[in-house]
Amino acid sequence: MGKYALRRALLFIPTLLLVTILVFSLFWIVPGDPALAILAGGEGDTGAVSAEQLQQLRQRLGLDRPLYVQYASWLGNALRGDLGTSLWYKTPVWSQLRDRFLVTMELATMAIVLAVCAAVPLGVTSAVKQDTGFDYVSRIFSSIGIALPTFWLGILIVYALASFFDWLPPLGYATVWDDPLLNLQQLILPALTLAFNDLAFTARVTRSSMLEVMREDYLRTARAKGLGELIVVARHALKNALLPVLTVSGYQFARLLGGVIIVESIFVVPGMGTLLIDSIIHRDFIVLQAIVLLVAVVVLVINLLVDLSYGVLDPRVRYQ
Amino acid sequence: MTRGVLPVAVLLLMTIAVIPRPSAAQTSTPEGQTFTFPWPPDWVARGKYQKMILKGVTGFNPGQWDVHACGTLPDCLMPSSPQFNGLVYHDPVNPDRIVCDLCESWTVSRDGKTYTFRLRQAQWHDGQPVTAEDIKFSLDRIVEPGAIRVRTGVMRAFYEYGAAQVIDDRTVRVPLRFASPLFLENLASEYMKMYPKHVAKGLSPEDAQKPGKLIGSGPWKLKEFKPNISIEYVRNTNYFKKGLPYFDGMSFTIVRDYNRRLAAMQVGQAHTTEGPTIGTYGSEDPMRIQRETKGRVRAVYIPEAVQTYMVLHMNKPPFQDARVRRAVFLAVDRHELTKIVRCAEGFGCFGSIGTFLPNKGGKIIEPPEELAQVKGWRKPKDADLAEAKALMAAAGYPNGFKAMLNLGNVPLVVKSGEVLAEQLRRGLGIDLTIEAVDRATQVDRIMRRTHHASLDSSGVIILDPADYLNQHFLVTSGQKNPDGWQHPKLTELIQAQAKEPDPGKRLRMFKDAVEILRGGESHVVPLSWGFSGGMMDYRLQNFHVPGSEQIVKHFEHVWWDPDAPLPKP
Repeated sequence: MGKYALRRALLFIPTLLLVTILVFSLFWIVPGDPALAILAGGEGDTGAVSAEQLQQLRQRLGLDRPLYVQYASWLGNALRGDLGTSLWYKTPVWSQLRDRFLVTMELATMAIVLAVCAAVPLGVTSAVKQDTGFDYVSRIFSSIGIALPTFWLGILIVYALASFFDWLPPLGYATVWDDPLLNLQQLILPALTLAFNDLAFTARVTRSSMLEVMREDYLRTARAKGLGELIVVARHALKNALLPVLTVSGYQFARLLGGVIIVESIFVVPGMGTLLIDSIIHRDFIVLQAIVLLVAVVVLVINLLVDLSYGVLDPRVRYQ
Repeated sequence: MTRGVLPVAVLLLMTIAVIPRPSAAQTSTPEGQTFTFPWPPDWVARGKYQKMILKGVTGFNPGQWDVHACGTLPDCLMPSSPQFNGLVYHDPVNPDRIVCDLCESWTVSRDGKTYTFRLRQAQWHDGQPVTAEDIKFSLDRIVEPGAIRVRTGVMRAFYEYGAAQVIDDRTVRVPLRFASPLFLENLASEYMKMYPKHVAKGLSPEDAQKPGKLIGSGPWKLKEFKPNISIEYVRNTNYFKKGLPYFDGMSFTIVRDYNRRLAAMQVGQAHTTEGPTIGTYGSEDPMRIQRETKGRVRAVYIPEAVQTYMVLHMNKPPFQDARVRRAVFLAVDRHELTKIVRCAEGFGCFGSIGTFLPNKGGKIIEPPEELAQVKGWRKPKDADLAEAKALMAAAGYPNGFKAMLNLGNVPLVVKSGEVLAEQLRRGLGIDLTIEAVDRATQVDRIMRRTHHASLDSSGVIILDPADYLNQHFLVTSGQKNPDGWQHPKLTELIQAQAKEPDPGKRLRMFKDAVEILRGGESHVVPLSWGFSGGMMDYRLQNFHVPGSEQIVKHFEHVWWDPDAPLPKP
């Protein structure tokens, strides 16, 4: 298993390299550049920016160099652990990314934990009580959850809270260490918003998986031995039904990192999502590259962990 | 439309009511005329300091902090301004007037070519005194040759680098290239801030743009800028305008989502929006929040603050042909467009029909009664459309043509584009394909002239129409005149008005300039004027609506009155 993990880890390198090349290339295909964003601004009126002023700033920022030189320069620094200096903020990228990464990970973890904690019991109960009223309600709930776009749900929650309760989560941000209660107030609603879709999807997968497992012969044998239904379901069925759920949850976590972009904006959470949007608006490709690199690493690591956990849950799985 | 404007006009009148006049003394000496501004003016004592933080929301995440170099209002000027003073500025309680800020008086020589400023006793945030040497340094920095000066570069026309003379520690003499009524107006622009020489001199252009690197003498000191979270200021307890500001601190939370900002105001999480006004809120939304909160949130609007216009690109057919440009200019129904885009059912209108120049600083250049007779604005449109069709036929496009329209993905701009496309399809058979993109892409496309036409918007900076003429018709190859369109007579008029001291003659020059532009052959097709809007808690007192969203951005004069009566609906 150790060799397998190492081999998979080594494969990260070409994957990450490809990701950064792709992002870098795409970024320069898009019209507009950091100099234009700085002088002409992200939004609003922009004065009378002249072509000469733009050219002057491009030279100062080194944007007039050939693309491969810019990429090589960025890559060389990144390999030495220097992710560069933001073109917009003029501060080291890592100093910004560090705090935001933790915020986003906290939010995503909270969301996935909420989703899994609710989805698994819901899916299991739905399967056990197949074709009953509970099952129908659960399936309708899941369909709605999958169909509702996350950003729309977020806007709806904000609107409803402001209009009917005259209350919204406090503005600003407090870390869980500084003020746990305030942190919870600020993150619980975005986490629930993000969790809703995942909950619905995971519940459906759990239900399908459970239904399949519950038709297996070994469960009939367990029941024939006289084991109680709770033990049959919890000990024998659920463990085997969890494999697909685990796969889905790993995938969902990676997807969450994409979902947070809009939800963070709606709920004013200063995570990587808002930084990503800003870096695109301001054409700050140094920050963008760093975010993409970090997210890619997280996704690759999660995929690896999910693969490795198969072996723990199912002894039949062997790593060659 | 008049009916719709009424509620907003009433609101504005209520807002600007009971404005005290600052006590400026004017004396005549052999050297010239001296204008003195004793401190404090009478309104200062009416405010009361409160031990509280003024809380605001802003949709912008600033990246530039050197107002001499930067070019944007929300990303640079708004967060920077509270830290600095100008030499002169717009009186915050009577914003049409220019008064002393760091100076206590100025003397204009008899020929109008020299201004002598006498400074107040003021201190920079590090305790060092503000000296005439700092002022000379700042004026030179504003016009520094070769440096990027997006907004302040206009001063190069009036002041030559190195020309200012330090008379003594508190007196500086500023000779001008020529006598101009525009010098003071430009000097009062919020971008013309004064910096301490001992701090700014050692900063590279990149370092100067970092938060907190440049310090000022202003009412607020930057405490901390947390990117994407907040901008926090503390009160300058050593501020030379004793008694100001009226709060312990000021904190703007960065909320990128527009609806979330509205919601924050609605539930009382903030006392004010950024600015407090900006074009982003130039719709019925602030008014709606005012109604929903039963007056707790006050809607504030600056009329005729942002112009939406079409730029016709002349680097390719069909707009290379002046006849086609004129046809489009004539065919646009500005009344219909303004009604659809700027008015909201049950709320009224938040804009007016597009003219070439803003009516600012008491200069009414294109009055509505005159426009009713002018081609392109007159009603009904039949005669204009007939002439436009004839021009299209003469240019070889009797059945119209297909063209690409580049515009920003802002709802109001997209709506303008849709109405415009429908009008041109209906009237001239022009089939416009709309491409809505983000701001950086939009500006890039304007400057590279990739499309046939672009929609853009432009805010009023100084309270004088000359600024508009400069930006759109004198500065060439830039974003506002990408094709470098020029008209010899127009250029002559723009240059002449800058030197004309007689207001009557200047007005005549502006009217002549407009007459040339009404020929419809330039790259600019004005569409509509929009409001700049914002929201404030009703207890926030002493805010007076300025004529431009680019002035009075320092929050030094507003105070909190917990006992203020809730305004009647």
